[in-house]
Parts: sequence; structure tokens; C-alpha cells
Amino acid sequence: MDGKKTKSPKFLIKYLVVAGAVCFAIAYGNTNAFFAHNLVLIFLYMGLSQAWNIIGGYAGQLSLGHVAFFGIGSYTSTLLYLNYGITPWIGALVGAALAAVVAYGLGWATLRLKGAYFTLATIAFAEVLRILATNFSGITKGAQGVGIPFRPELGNMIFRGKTGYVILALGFAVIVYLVCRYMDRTRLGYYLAAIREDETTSASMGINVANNKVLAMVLSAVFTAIGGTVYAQYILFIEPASEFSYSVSLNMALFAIFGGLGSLYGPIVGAAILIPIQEYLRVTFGGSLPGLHLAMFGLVLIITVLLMPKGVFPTIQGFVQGRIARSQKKKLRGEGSQ
Amino acid sequence: MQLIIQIAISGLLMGGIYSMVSMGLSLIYGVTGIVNFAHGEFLMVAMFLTWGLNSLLGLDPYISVILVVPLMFLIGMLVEKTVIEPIIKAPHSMQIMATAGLSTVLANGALMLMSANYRSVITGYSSKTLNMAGIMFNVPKLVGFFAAVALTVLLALFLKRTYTGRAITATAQDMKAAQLMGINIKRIYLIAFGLGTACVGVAGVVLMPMYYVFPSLGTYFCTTAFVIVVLGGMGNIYGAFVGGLVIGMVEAFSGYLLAPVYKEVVYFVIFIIILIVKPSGILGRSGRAA
Repeated sequence: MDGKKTKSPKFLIKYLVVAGAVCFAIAYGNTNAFFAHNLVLIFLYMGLSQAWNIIGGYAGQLSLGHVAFFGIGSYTSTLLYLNYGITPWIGALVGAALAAVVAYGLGWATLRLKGAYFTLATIAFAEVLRILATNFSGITKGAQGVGIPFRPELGNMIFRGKTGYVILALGFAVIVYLVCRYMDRTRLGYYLAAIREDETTSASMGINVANNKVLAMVLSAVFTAIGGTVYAQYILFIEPASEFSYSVSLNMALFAIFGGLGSLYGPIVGAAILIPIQEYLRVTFGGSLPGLHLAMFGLVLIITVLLMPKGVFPTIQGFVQGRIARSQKKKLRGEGSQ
Repeated sequence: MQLIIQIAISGLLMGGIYSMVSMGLSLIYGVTGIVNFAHGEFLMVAMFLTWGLNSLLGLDPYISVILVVPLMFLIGMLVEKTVIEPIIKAPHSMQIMATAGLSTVLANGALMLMSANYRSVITGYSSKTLNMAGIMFNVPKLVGFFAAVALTVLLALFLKRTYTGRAITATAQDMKAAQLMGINIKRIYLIAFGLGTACVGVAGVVLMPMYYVFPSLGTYFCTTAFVIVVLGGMGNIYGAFVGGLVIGMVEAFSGYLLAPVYKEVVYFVIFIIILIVKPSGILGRSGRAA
């Protein structure tokens, strides 16, 4: 990383602007509960969607059952906390470890499959976990769900008011971002991109396709599980129907695809744009027109795939770069003619 | 012994319905290479159409087949033209996302329009049973089973004997060669998608007198249909027929031996085992051939 020394002040300004905007948003959220709620969900889904992007975007293996790991994370930390008094901070790590083991097994069994088979297997797996969570009521309390008593304390990962959760979710998103950024610039990122573009060629170039895909799956599952814990601590109630809901899997994938599949900023942009729309639609039409926000999202998904398959962020980026290049060319031509 | 036979029979009959749903899915995959994640939602739409025709016009579900199936064929072609055709050459992930998006739109659109209520059509024969040598045959299920057999035979005849059918088979076997022989691929895709959707139309009609319809019904049938299609071999419609019967039996026996709620767990285990051991399905032929 020799680029560090040559970083211009312009680069720093970008970070400062982002940090300033986030601080301002958190401060405003302190006075407006709905806004703060949106922030929590935006940051949470930024993290989740980035985690999904590792396997779904970078490695190009479309999982639509990631909610399985989300549910494993939330159930593990919650049950450890309620039954054994283990703090969710540690519970999150236990959940992540468990998710890693499960992802390893599932990945080993299913990642050798091509495209749609893998997607099907992930959907089916999440469905199975939902059924098990509903029916093993001795452990999970079944369909009635588990409530977490409200004892606000940092050690319990429970906060009075929403600002604590905003910071928690933000921290989660930043950690996943840093991991993804690191991955983006190291060998694993390039391996995964190569696998996504052409599996046979990558294998013939000496990349261990199966191992790298499983590794991506495990990494992705670990952070998804931690996100599950964060969500459980925020809502303070978990039940199979919401903890293993297909729409969570779909959202994770949708935000990444909408923003830009396999790009570092794609999931961040996607979550920041789509979560507020979703929450607005849900609050405004949830009672009178149930399903509207999900139907809209399905439509957004189709339109994204049809019109800008690269996603919003790369499309805009490409547009802006094209404009700059064109204007520079014009300038040069103008100078040449004089 | 009687009990075992009874379970096998009722599983087999239900399997017929699954076969019809899966054949459409398999046909679409075999010809276009698209895995249609909205297939279960098409079934839901077909059932709502049947229900609507019954409650508005008082049509008997079995008679409404003459309207529902052509309608589903048209809906299928419309979807193909708007959503599928533009992405037919796109990467797999994009195709999956487009059809998954479609499934979300259809399921939640239905939720908006029809609310989450369960609706059913009660007919005189809904709960009628035939008793043969002590074994009970539920009449609507029996009709469904024979409809499945008839549909398979008709589809096979169509694919083997007619020009369009042979063009479809040719496209499924080798798209480029078919194109060189002067087959209009776009038209074939359109027809195949319409046909696949029409199969679901038949399934929706025969399912309506014995089942109920609700917006999220698609998810359940879609997972089942996928397991069946993988079991029978992706793209193989006879495989889908056999696979449907097998899964129907598996469902009946796992419901009896374990508990009905675990049937999906059993499917999943079967699904994973097949994918690992024999991804080309029980009828063997690998690749995309209808």
C-alpha cells in the first residue's frame, strides 16, 4: 500500500465531509425518532448488504437465503443472553462462529453447483431453518417468539433512546466496510472477481475455486450473523417469521444489486436510497395497502436489472466520468484550434 | 398394509398436481435456460383467476379451464416479452434477480388487491370420495391426477408431432443450430414461456376445488416445484412428471412418519443429496433437453 503517502488533501476532505454528514444526521436523529429509526436501518442494512455482496457480488454466487445466517446470529445471542446471562457482545461472536460453521457446511455442499442451483439451495435452507425454529419450541419458544427484557446498559447492548443504536449500527457498517475494502485490495478480492467472471479460466490459472468460494461464503455469513444480533438487540423481540423472513434475504441482495453488484460502494448507496423509501411507504401505506412497499421493491429490482444491470453507483460514476472526459476533450480541441 | 396403500395413493394423487406445476417450470428452463422464480406466483394468479370466475360469473372451476388456461398463456407471453426477452442473454445472476423481482411484485400485488385472506371455492364434489376396496380416493385429487397424466401426454405429443413442438425441442437441444435451420428463436421462447405458464394454469384450476388461495401461496409451491425439477432433471418434462409423483409420496409418508410440518425439511435433505450425488436428476440425461 504505497498509495498512502501520496494521498492528497482532497482525499481527506471526502472523508471529513462524510464524517460531518453522519455526525449531523446522528445529532438530528436525537431529536427525531422516525429519522433515527431510518438511520439505524440504513446503517444495519449497509452492513448486511455489504456482507451479502462478498458472496453475491464479488464471488457472483447469488444467495437468496442469507437470512438463515441473520437468524442464527439473532437467535444465538438472544438465547445465550436470556438463558445464561452472556452479554450479546460475546453472543454476537458466538453466533458469528456458529454461522461460520454452518456456512462452511452449506457452502461445501452447494457451492459446487452452478448458478440457479445454488440460489435454490440457499432459499430452501433458510426455509428449513424457519420451520425448525418454529417447531423446536423447547429451545426457541416457537412461533410465539422471544422477548428481550428492556434493561438499558452498554454491557447488555441495549440503549435508552435510538442514538445508541444508530452508533451501534454505524459501527457495524463501518467494520464490514473496512473488511470489504481490505478484501477489495487483496488477493482474495481479485480471486473472487476472477471466479465470478470465468470459473473455468480461474481454475486453470491455479485459483482454488471451491475453497475461495467457501471462504467468501463464511466471511459473508459471519457478518450477516452479527447484523442479526444487532437487529435483535434493536427490536428486542425475535420470532421465526421475521428472523427467517425471505424479504430480509431479498433486501440484502436488492440493495447491493441496485447500488452496484460487486462494487465497494454499491450496497452503501443502495441501502441509503432504498431504506428511506421503504420505510416511508411502509408507514404511509402499511395499513391501507399492505404489500405496496415490497411490490415497489420487486419493480425496482426488475427495472434495475433491465435498465442498468451494473447498478446505480457505477452507472452514475460512469456518466460523470464520461462527462468529465468529454469536457476535457472539448477543452483540448478548443485549445488546439486557436 | 391398507394404511400404507392409502398413504401411497393419496401421495401419488397430490403428486400429480405437483407434476403439472413442475412441468411448466422444467419446460421453461429447458427451452429458454431461465429458472423462473416467479413460477409459484403464476400458480397463485391462476388460482385467483379461477376463484374470480367462480365468484363473479359462478363458473364451475373445471369449466373455467377454457378461460384460465388461455389467459395464463397470454400472461406468460406478456411476461416473456417484457421481462424475460431483454435478459435472455444476461448473466445467470441477473436472470435470477429479474424473476425473483417478478415474484415479489406478483405476490405483493396480490396482497394489495386481494388482502391476505384465504379464499376457496366450495363445490359439490370438493370433499367427495370414492371407495374402492377400502381405499379412499378424493375426487378432486383424482381429477387432478388424471389431468396431470393427460397434460403430460398432450405435451409430449405436441413436442414430438407438431412443427412448433419440434422447433421447441430443437431449440432446447441446440439454440444456435435451431436458429441456423431457420427457426425463429424469439417466437419459440415466447411460445415455450406461454406454454409453461399455461401448464400452471391447468394446475391452478384443478387445485382450486380442494385447496385455498392466498397471496403468499407461490413460495410453498415454488420450493416444491424446484425440488421436483431438480429430482427429475432440469429441463426434462417427463422427469418432472415422475419427480412430482415421487415428491407427492415423500410428502405423504414423511407427514405420516414424522409430522406434516417437517415435510419441507425432508425435501431439502433430498434436494441436497440429489444435487451432490446426481445433479442431472433421477432420469439421468444431463443438460437442457426438453
